[in-house]
Amino acid sequence: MPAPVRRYALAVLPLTLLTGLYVVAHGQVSPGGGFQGGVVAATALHLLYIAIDYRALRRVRSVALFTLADAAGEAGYLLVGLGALLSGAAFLRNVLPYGTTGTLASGGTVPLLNAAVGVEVAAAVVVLLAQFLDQAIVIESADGSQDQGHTPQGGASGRTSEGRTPQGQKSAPGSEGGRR
Amino acid sequence: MNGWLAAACALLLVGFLPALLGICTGPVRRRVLAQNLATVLAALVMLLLSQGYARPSYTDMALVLAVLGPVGTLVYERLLGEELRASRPRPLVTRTMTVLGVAPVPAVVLPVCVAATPGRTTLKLLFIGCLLVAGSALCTRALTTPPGGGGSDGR
Amino acid sequence: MGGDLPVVVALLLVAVAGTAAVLARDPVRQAAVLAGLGLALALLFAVLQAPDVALSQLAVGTALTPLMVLLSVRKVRRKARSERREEHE
Repeated sequence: MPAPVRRYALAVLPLTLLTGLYVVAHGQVSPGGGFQGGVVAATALHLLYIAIDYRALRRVRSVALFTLADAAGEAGYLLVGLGALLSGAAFLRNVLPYGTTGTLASGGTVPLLNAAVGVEVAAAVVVLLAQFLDQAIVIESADGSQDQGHTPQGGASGRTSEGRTPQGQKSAPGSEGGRR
Repeated sequence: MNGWLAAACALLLVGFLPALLGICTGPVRRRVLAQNLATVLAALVMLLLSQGYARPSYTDMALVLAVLGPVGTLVYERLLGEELRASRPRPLVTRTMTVLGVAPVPAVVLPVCVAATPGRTTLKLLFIGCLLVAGSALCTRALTTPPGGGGSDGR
Repeated sequence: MGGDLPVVVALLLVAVAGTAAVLARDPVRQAAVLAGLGLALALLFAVLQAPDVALSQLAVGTALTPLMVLLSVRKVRRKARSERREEHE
């Protein structure tokens, strides 16, 4: 990847993050909301992998923290709903003032719910992609030994006899003809 | 059916449909270059639709496309790097795709800017236009770098 | 008919992209066609006045789906290569 493209990707990373937050925050006045903005924000983080390499992404992304954030988002959603119960109304009923239609401060508890969903979706997508990346990326260290990401399961190394895929695999998508 | 919607249909048939056919046929390099072009054209069609249906909120779709479209193209470039760099692109192809990805943007963004309400919306539209131009040009460059000019690192 | 023209055009594009996605056999090429199909679907949702759905489609289909599909292809190819190497030893 040429250097200007790399610089562009790194410059666009904060812009994408901001766009995701913008879409989440404006959920009640324009198309979008928690899910859409959350996915955009999660994609922004993976620009680190695209622009630099997987090591850079791993340094920033601690899967435990993001799993926690996923749970926190869901808990936030539930708490907003329960907050309505505490004030004597039904679950998830609105308890905040409405404001004027079309402004950012309208919608009662909807912005809070959007924010909770946004956090949850972004964290969940990051964790999901972490599983994919750990399976597919092999990190070669300086001495040539290979470290297959974090995967603990044996399926990644594929040397067990019951895991053998049949000969038909040869005619499958690979077009490199055994070059590498 | 006003002029904006007619322009959107025209852009879809004359621009997006050939790009779509380019995505569906041919070698991998052509497909990814066509995908880059298609995201730009789709964003421009969204801008025209926002004027045609008189819903300024549709520009958010163009914003998300302007931001995520190049990311998608770079994903292809990153993970299909070996196949893309296996052959040399012709300079005519490179120039044509760069121009095709950049030229329609001012042709659509400027009229929409003029027609929309002045103020924050104009800034947002200009921002979308700049992102589209930068993303399209740089992604085309990344896809048509001759072998050896990219500098691959440990992946 | 005049007001329906965008819808008809968008449906046509989705039909073309969907057929091409089914006819593409190689996963790598299919991943590229899926990006095109995603864009066509988003345009269809937009002209059908469903911008929220279109935004969801764009968010997921532009970068996330190609990433997942290509990572899976890479994993499968690497596994096939290492097994081929095993057989030759």
